[in-house]
Amino acid sequence: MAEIVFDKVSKEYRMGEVTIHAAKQVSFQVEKGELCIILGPSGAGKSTVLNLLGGMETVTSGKIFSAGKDITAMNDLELTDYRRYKIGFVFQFYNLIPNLTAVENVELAKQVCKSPLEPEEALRIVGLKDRIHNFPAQLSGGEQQRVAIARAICKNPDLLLCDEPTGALDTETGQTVLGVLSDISRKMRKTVIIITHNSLLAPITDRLIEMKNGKVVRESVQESPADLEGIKW
Amino acid sequence: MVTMLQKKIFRDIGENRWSFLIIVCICTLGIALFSGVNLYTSTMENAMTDYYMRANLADFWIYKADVSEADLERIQALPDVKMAQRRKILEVGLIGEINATLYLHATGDQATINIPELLDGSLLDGTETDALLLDSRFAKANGLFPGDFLSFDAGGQQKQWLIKGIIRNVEYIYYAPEGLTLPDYQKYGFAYINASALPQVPYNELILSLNGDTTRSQEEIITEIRETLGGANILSRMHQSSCREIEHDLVGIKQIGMLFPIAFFLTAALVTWITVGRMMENQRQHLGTLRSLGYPKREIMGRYALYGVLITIPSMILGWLISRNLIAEFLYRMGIAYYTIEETGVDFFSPHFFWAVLCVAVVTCGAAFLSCKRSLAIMPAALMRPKPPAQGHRILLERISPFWRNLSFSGKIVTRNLFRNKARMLMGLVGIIGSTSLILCGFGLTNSINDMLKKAFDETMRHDVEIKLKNPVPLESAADIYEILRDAQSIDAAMAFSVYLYGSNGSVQNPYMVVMDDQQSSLHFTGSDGREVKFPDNGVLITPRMAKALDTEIGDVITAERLDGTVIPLEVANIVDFPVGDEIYISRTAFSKISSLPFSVRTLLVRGQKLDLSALQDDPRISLIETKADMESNMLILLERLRSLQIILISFAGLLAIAVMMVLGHMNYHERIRELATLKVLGFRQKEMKRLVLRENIWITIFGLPFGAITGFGLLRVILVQATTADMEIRPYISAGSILLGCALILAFTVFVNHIMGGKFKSIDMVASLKSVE
Ligand SMILES: Nc1ncnc2c1ncn2[C@@H]1O[C@H](COP(=O)(O)OP(=O)(O)OP(=O)(O)O)[C@@H](O)[C@H]1O
Ligand SMILES: [Mg+2]
Repeated sequence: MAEIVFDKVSKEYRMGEVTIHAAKQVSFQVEKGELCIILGPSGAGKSTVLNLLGGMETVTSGKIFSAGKDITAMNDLELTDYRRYKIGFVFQFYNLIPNLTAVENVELAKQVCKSPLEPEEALRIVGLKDRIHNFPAQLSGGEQQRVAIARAICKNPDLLLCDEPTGALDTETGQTVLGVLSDISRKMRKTVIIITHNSLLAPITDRLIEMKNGKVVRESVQESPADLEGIKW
Repeated sequence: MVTMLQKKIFRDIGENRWSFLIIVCICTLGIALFSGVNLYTSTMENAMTDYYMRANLADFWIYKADVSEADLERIQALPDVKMAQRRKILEVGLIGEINATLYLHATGDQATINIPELLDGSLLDGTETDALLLDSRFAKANGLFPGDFLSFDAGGQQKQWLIKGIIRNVEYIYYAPEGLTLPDYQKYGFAYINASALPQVPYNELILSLNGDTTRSQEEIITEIRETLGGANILSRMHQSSCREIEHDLVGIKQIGMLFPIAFFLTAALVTWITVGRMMENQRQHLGTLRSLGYPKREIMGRYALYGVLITIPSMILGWLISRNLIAEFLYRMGIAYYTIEETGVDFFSPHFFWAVLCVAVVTCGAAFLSCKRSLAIMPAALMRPKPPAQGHRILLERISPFWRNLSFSGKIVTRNLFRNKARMLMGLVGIIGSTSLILCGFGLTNSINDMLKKAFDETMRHDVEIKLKNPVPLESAADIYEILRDAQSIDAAMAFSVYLYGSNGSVQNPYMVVMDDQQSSLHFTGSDGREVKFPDNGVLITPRMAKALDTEIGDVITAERLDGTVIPLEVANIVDFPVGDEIYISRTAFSKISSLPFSVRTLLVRGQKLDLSALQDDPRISLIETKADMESNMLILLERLRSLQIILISFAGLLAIAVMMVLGHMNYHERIRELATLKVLGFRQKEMKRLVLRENIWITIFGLPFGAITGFGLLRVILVQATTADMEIRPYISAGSILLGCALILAFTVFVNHIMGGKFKSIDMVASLKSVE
């Protein structure tokens, strides 16, 4: 079984009379250690899929397997443990805690895992070694995003989920951030799933999943992905 | 457009409904307590004033051996006197089945002052010589009705008296005959008869009422009357027992009912102010958006002031309902039982209610308006960004590196959170300090009263039984009583008579002067330093209250005047701590030096256990035998109303504490929901989240408790100083047990609210909470 398996997963939101189908019978797989990108227009259901995989929401129907375990069958406590030990999540809007310094924000994640990286080390990986004692307000958006990534990787998770990590950043900063993420996948052998609007990223990935209207419209595997440096933005 | 804005505000309130509801509760409690207690006192005052007017209550009661026709005319001719009437008064013992004492008032013609209020039967027509109008309480207690007969011996004639009517009288609204702490309706009553029924008894009482518009002081009028009559015992309403008792009663409740609710209100107002301010602060981005959409400032502010209105109106209605139907009604039921007056029920409003509502309106609308205005002064663009956390710097504690390094990670976070968010901490502290001090003050009232009683009954009074004689007798004539009490450890005879004391500051006091043996062992006097004070050979012992009222110090000489006009100079020998009563004490030796009056016994103070007092029960010379236990329980009953007030105060303080904690918890929850969602995504367990986020509430509580205790003691002190009357002084005292209990309660509330808030962590929607920048 692949590392991640989506098996006919549907997610509906009921709003009074109307039912919104955010995900319809979504099925795909991701192998261990892959760098995977989910592409698609706004409202396609990308975030929905990622949130389901991150154990932050529950499915309406279908099954999701992560490392062989069915997370749709987990209860609240098990889901918390799942998030705690398996998942690193990076948000579009960083979500750092404003009154903790960079290193403390990372340390916060360290508190809850079994084999964490040292926060300083995590921050070094994202290239913020010199700014560890700054508060989020003293950092630029890109730097904050990198702190958020450091926080995610510090947990040393098996699975790194990033929902538009470059969405609020300019292209150059975005590139740095993506570089960091692809490095993590390649060098640390982690499964990384990134949501993005930017189809230019496609060549560097191992796997590309395209979504539209809550459905997976294309799933492609790339045997020899290009290097990030080689891409023209 | 306008309706959209309104719609948005209603939706905001919906989202914040818990904080909003709790604020409404806090305001309701404030309004209810303040206006409830005051509604009771004002109802009582109105009822009394009204009754005094209707029944034309006398302004003065004047006692003189023989009030002649000429005396009456001379008094009537005085400038300020509106009406005057002579009466014959006589105390008689009933003969027959009922063993009781009746106090008779006889008027020559229809009563025009202190007019009796007929409840049953008919009034006297002025000719009856063997009919009376009987006290309703006495009649009820003894099962008497119009048409029944009573027999007693009045003015030398023993005869049957027909009860013609059952009445109430304005001069007996509260009737505890002299020497009694509490009414005893079965044994003591009063009755009105025609003067012609007592031909042998002289007119010995004169009552008069003044013109309402007199400009002269009571003292001046009293002096004038005394000169006109050539010496007489004159009681004003301040001294007449019914009026005085009512007055004292209400003063105590009024002071407590004013100061405590004000403190309560202050806490409520501060918490409300900060909460509404914070609610508005959390709206700043919306304000920015509205501004950038082109809404004028004035309109936005006007709309947000709606917050205030929406808090004020429900709390006004609820507050009124609780104040009238719960608090005032409860106190009224407790209070009215002691008074013989028509039960008209609690008034609908008192001005206090409107003041309270106005305050709530000002605080809520003001807070909304002001913080809205403050936000709107910032440019819309800046407003829309989240408030730049002014957190670029470290808190002071971090500079103390050894301390900081030894703190655990969560300890660091909790500490920093605590000091970073000033508004949150301030609100927490205000709430905690306020409610702690209110609870402790409530407990303290009870403690102080108990302490006072303990001091009075255990430390000062060493005797076990008090025997009061109807009339003073020479010591020799009481020899047989001494004989009956031969098993007693000691018997101290005391002479007591009423005197007027004139202070150098112009005040007049009317205490009893008590003369006792130099070597008496019944009363244990202590000075302000707690050390025993023996009877001095010269001068009197007075209470600190009396010293304050007369503005005298040890060594001063004050003037005392007996009712017959004899003037005695008194030196203040010492000021002694005597918690109950307004008597002044002097030794026989000292008394013999300043007065030629022979010693006569009025009261016997007896020490001894298991005395057989039955032989004295029917002694005609004795008016009252009271054991210490009786006195103590009577005192407790007397203080019952104060206690019922305390129950209300303590429970309201507790409710306030819970409400404050709840609103604190909710505000924190709402403001930090993003942070909480982030923690949840990171995989924090509920317990860990609580430790990080909720522990600071416990610290705030622990930090606030000592200050709360100090403030509480201060509040108690102020209240008790205000409530001190000439014959009772309560020292502020909060027992260690109460402090522990109070603090434990507050801490328990904090833990309870934390528990509830912690439970809400489960339902945080991570995705929704983290969706946008907000
Ligand atoms: N809580 C919700 N309630 C109702 N509908 C929702 C909710 N969350 C998402 N949706 C709907 O589900 C659909 C998919 O949303 P989703 O956030 O997954 O899109 P997305 O692909 O991430 O879009 P974007 O690129 O804009 O972030 C959308 O149509 C959205 O309106
Ligand atoms: Mg999305």
